[in-house]
Amino acid sequence: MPAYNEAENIGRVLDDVLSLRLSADIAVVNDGSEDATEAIAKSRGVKVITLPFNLGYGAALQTGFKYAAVRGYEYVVQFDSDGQHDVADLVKIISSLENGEADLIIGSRFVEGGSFKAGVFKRIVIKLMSALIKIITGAVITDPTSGFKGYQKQIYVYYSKYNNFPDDYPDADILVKMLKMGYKAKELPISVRQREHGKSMHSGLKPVVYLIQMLLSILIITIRNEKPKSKGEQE
Amino acid sequence: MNISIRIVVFLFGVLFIIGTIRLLLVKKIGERYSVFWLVGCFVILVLSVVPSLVDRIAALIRISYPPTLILLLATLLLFWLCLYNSIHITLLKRRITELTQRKAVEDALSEDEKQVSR
Repeated sequence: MPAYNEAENIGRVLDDVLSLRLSADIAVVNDGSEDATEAIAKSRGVKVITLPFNLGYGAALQTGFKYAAVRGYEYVVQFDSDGQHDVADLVKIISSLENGEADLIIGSRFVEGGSFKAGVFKRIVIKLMSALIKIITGAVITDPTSGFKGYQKQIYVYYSKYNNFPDDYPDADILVKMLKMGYKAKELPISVRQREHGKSMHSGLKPVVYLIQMLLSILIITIRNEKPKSKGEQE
Repeated sequence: MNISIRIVVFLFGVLFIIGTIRLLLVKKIGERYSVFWLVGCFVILVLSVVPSLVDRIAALIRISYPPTLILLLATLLLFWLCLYNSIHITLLKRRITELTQRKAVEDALSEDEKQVSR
């Protein structure tokens, strides 16, 4: 769970996650928060990995992957700490990973059973990304920008390594890359709430920058055309 | 170019060289990065002493208005320098990120070990 200045949300989110009594370790990557995020997370008894300063969402997520890689976990679930994700969906994602249904499980707000009220611009961006993924890889991914994903070991270990992870926003671009490398992705319906407190990382002009950056990243991945690697090779 | 402008340009060239060497002495710039500025200053000095050089080179490559040559070269060089710096900033950012992440993960792992040994 990457977290940056989420003091108003993290306690409630962790309480909800812990109430599920999952047979999984929970780690919060405190991305250099200036508020009480770290203290609140520690007070709930979960693992807290603290970055000395804010590196951004992607780097915080990759830090979690690095920790998981050293610990040798079989799979990792990426879950936002802003309270937008429904913890009940965690069970579905974990069970799908445990059953080996796919290498990557994506929590989708747009497949049947999912729910989310998105703004017009956000919907356009998501539709555009989905269409690009379909054109490039042939796969149907309805929610490429979802921040609720489950990764099998071979995938998260690969992305835990230096230079293998996008600098800022790991979203549709890593999906394109993984699908092109021959990994299987599956979407499961999830419910997403509007955040109650704090500021979204996609506020202001950031969605426009995000869109341009993502299009460029997808273009570069397509041009690079990295060959599929064997699973053993990536570990 | 009249003599007073030549003197001003020459003095600027000398000042830039002194400034760059001073930055080198106080270790605020590396030798590798100072080369670009020292070469640039040297070019300014040469052009202030022999301004007809610009006219001759411009004529050689068929540029009808010689001062354009200086602007073109300066723009291209600064553009290249910006690109070079962007490459270095990207590399440094990635290295700093990697180091910071490793430090955070190692701290977390040593905390785990402490908890196990308790």
